Amino acid sequence: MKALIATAYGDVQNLEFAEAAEPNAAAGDVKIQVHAASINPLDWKLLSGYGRGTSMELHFPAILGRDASGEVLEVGANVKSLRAGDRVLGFALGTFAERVVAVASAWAKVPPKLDLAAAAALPMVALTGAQLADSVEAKPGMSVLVTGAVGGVGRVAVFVAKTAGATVWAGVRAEQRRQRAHWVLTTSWPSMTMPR
Amino acid sequence: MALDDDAEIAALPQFDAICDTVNGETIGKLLLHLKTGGALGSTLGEPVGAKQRGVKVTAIRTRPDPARLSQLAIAAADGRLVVPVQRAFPLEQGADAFRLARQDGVAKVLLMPQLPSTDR
Repeated sequence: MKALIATAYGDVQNLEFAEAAEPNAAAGDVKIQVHAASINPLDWKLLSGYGRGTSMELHFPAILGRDASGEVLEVGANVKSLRAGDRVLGFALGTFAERVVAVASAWAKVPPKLDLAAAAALPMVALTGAQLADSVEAKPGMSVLVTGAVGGVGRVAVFVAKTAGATVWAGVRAEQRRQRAHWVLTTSWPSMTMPR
Repeated sequence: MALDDDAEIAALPQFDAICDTVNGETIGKLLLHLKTGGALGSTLGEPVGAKQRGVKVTAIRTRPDPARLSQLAIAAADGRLVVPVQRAFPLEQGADAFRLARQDGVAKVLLMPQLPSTDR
């Protein structure tokens, strides 16, 4: 199969579209035909060498990508929750490829009304944002400030905290304020900085 | 619109909790507006000085949770949760996609293996 392969730590010149080994599904795994995968900050951070010397060390050639949507091609012998043809989204490893394998528990079914491209944008930011809001135990009566509230993770944290009943204050940058006038509060702060 | 950042931050009330996705100097200033005993969640590691302020700090490491993901996907399908997509690229134009994705203020960028390659 074809994949986007990182050949060494560095910048995007070290990404090659090339042939990669076909992944195989073990008994508890699900293999999908990738429809779309989204790029997350972790992907370019890992490419730049952020994970060196940690459990996130890349072993080259490496396939980046942490989330995807697609159609189930095959399931392992022990998998009862999904079957071939199901539309799924999930949080997996090596998703910048035509096909990817992950344990069955990595995947959720895509609702009929959601297209697969929109679904691919969700797994990493949706789970991160939800787990972020959960980490502060958002509940009725609480005031919660979410920073970076128009980013993917921030949007989901706002949604989950509001759904939990908290009063949510959405913090965004100055130039984003006009477009978000309906929000309870906006404030101004400098750009997020990240290793590049 | 010119804003005085510090004045705006100084006018904030005391929060029960902060969910932080930006870190840096900003969170240092915002910590002064988090109640003692309050909760701080962060996607970018533990901010310097947070624990010394007597707040509960949780540095998030995202973990798979298909039940939760399913709920969030339903919210997205219903239009209650919106995660915008900026652009989709063919997988073979991954380098271009990365260049766009890491620009400030850009929404989600997708890679799609079956999308035909385009001339640049």
